[in-house]
Parts: sequence; structure tokens; C-alpha cells
Amino acid sequence: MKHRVAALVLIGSLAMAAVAAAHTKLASTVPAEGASAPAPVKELVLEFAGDVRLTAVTLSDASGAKKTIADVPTAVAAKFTLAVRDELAPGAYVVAWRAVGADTHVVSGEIHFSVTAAHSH
Amino acid sequence: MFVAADLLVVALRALSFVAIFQAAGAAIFVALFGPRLDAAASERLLSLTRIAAVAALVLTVLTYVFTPARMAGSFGGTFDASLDSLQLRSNAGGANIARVVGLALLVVSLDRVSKVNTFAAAGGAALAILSFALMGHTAIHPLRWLLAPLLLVHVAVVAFWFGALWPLQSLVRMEPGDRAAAVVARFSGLALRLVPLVLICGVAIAVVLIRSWAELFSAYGAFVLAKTALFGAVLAVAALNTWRAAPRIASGGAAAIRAFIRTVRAEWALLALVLVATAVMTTLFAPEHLEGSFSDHLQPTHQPEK
Repeated sequence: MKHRVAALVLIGSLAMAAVAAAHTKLASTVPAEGASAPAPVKELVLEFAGDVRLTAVTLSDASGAKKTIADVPTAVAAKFTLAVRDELAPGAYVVAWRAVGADTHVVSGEIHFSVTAAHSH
Repeated sequence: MFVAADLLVVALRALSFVAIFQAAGAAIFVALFGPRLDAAASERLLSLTRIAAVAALVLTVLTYVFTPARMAGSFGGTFDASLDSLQLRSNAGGANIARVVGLALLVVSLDRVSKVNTFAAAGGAALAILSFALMGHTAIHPLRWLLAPLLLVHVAVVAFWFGALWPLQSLVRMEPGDRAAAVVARFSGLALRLVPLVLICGVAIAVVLIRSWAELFSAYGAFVLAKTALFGAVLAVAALNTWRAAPRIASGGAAAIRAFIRTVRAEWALLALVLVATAVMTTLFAPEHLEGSFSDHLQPTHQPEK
């Protein structure tokens, strides 16, 4: 009987942990991965599933040339909006980001998008 | 997308794991078997343990110093005060303090054989082992109450096992055949009872951290599988050692001693590889379901979004 109770407690705890655990590192971005954004692209938005300390963000064009963006804030937050200081010509771009979570766990990734010519009306 | 800072920190951490387990395990070996050895052999083992403890201390400090560079993705972040502060306030901060204190205690207490020194060294080894349960994926897991004791047993037995191998191959060359054989037999008897705990606790931890077949085929899962395969190879070598090479030592024959040393060194190298794989796995990857929960343990310093 004691063994059955212990097994039930263990299974119950595992099930509760499954509910408690969160998912995904980076919840959404603007521009989104693979998106075609019409010019002008004035800002980058990175939204995480929870609070992180964003430590590095770079924006490069297809040739690898770095574009100027706002400094990365030192605050711990879930959503970061960084102004793009350079004008982005039509073409492919990549955002490389790095963030730190608890226990100094480092997560990083890239967002690829392209800029298209501005719509004329 | 790994950068040079990632590779440096992973390398330092992997080497520190090997040195920490060597130092803590050898200290346990000296505490258990030191009284059975002659003075010269004891001195030699103390010296070896101390060298491992100094190496572990230096590597731990270097890993800590360069971790902010890894956080920032460049060496320019090495002395970034805000990243240093983030590290200190995290679980890793307290765990590293415990680890450094434990290793320092090992270094200062291994200068001579005495009851007080042995007691202090055992305390240092215990702190160094405990530090593994104070940080990492198990420390932020909702099931920490279950994972922490499992990890502690897992780590303590690995330290006992891995840390004893170098002293064992060293003492068979220094001690008379019968005395060396008695120590090896006593160690083997203990190891036979304790080593299964490594597998039992390791599997239990893996079951909690890897929840589906899909996760088993993630990068984290692949490392767990690689560790398990390596562990199987270590067990095969250990079995060869326990049942074939070790019983022949009593004869004192040079060939028997050479065979024993060869298999013990192979066992040490394979276990060192397991430790390196663990360091790479826990530094660069995480169980998929935990990725989002890291943020729950950050000290909030919210500021209005720009």
C-alpha cells in the first residue's frame, strides 16, 4: 500500500511539473523570422516567453556589414524594442541575439528577414 | 552560433569538472584508505590530491571570470559589472562560492596526514560535490526536491569512483603486492555496491528532464545518449578490471601490475570523457521544457520599455 501511495505521489508530482514548466525561448519578433518587411524598418522587437537579460543584438545585411541599432538595455525584461538607426535598403538581413536567463544560462539565435521596397500608393 | 567565448568557457568548465572530481574523489580515497597505506604512499596520494585541488580551484575561478564574456558573446563582456552582478545573484553565484570554499579547504588541508586534516578535507570534498546540486538545470526545476538528492548521490558516487582510479594505479606501483591487492579488493567491494547508484540516479534524472522521445533526439537528449553509451563502455572496462586484472595484483608480478594500470587508466579516460560530455551538455544545452522557465529565477529589475 505504501509503495502505491509513493508511486501516486511521484506520478502526481511529475504531472504537476509538466504543467509548471514553460516553453520556448523567444516568443515572437518583429520582423518575424522569414518575413518580408516593407521599408522603412525603424525598429526591432524581441519578445521572450519570460524575463531575460538581453546581452547582445547585432543587425547585419547579406554582405555581413553591421547596421547601427540602439544600445541593448541592461534591464531584465520580456520584451525589448530597439530602434534601427541606419536606413535599411531592400535586401536580406539577419539579427543575431544573445540573452541570459537564470543560473547564467545563455540562449542565442538568429532572425532572418528581408526588406522590400516601400509600397507606393 | 557558438563564439570563441563559448568555446573557452566550455573548455574551462570541462577541465574544471575533471579536476574537481579528481580532487574530491581522491580526498575521499585518502580518508577511506590512507590509514592502510605506508607513509610514503600516503604522502604521494596527498600530493596528487592537492595538485588536483589547486588545478580545480584555478579552473573554477577562470570559468567564473570568463562566464560574463560568454553571456555577452564577446570577451569585451568579461568585466561587465552588470553581468558580473547577474552571475553573482544567480544560483551559479552561491554554488561557485561553495565550490571555491570547498576546493580551498581541500588545498589547505592536504598538506599532512592528521585526523583534523582528514576531517577538513572530507568537508571540502563534500562542499565541492554539493555545489553541483546548487546550480544548473536541476536547481531551477519544479521537481528540485526530487532531483537534488538524486544528483547529489549520482555526483558523489562518480567522484568516489573517478577520484580513486589515479590513486589506485599509483599505489600498486608503490605498495607491496599483498597490501595493494587488499586496498584494491576493498575499493572494488565498495564500488560494486555503489556504482549501480550512478546508473539508477542518472536514469531517474534523465526521465524527469527528458519527457518524450522527441526530446531524446534534441541536442540535449543526444548528449544524454552519448553519456549513457560512454558509461556502458566504462562499466565494461571496470568489470574487466574488477574480475580479471585486480585479482592478479596480489602475485606482485610486473605483467599483472602493468595490465591493471592499463585498464585503470582506460577507465579513468572514459570517465573523464563522460565528465567532459556533461560539461558541454549542461553549458550549451538545456532540456527543451526548461528553456522558458529560466527567466522565473532572474532577479527582476524591470524598467519601462524603450
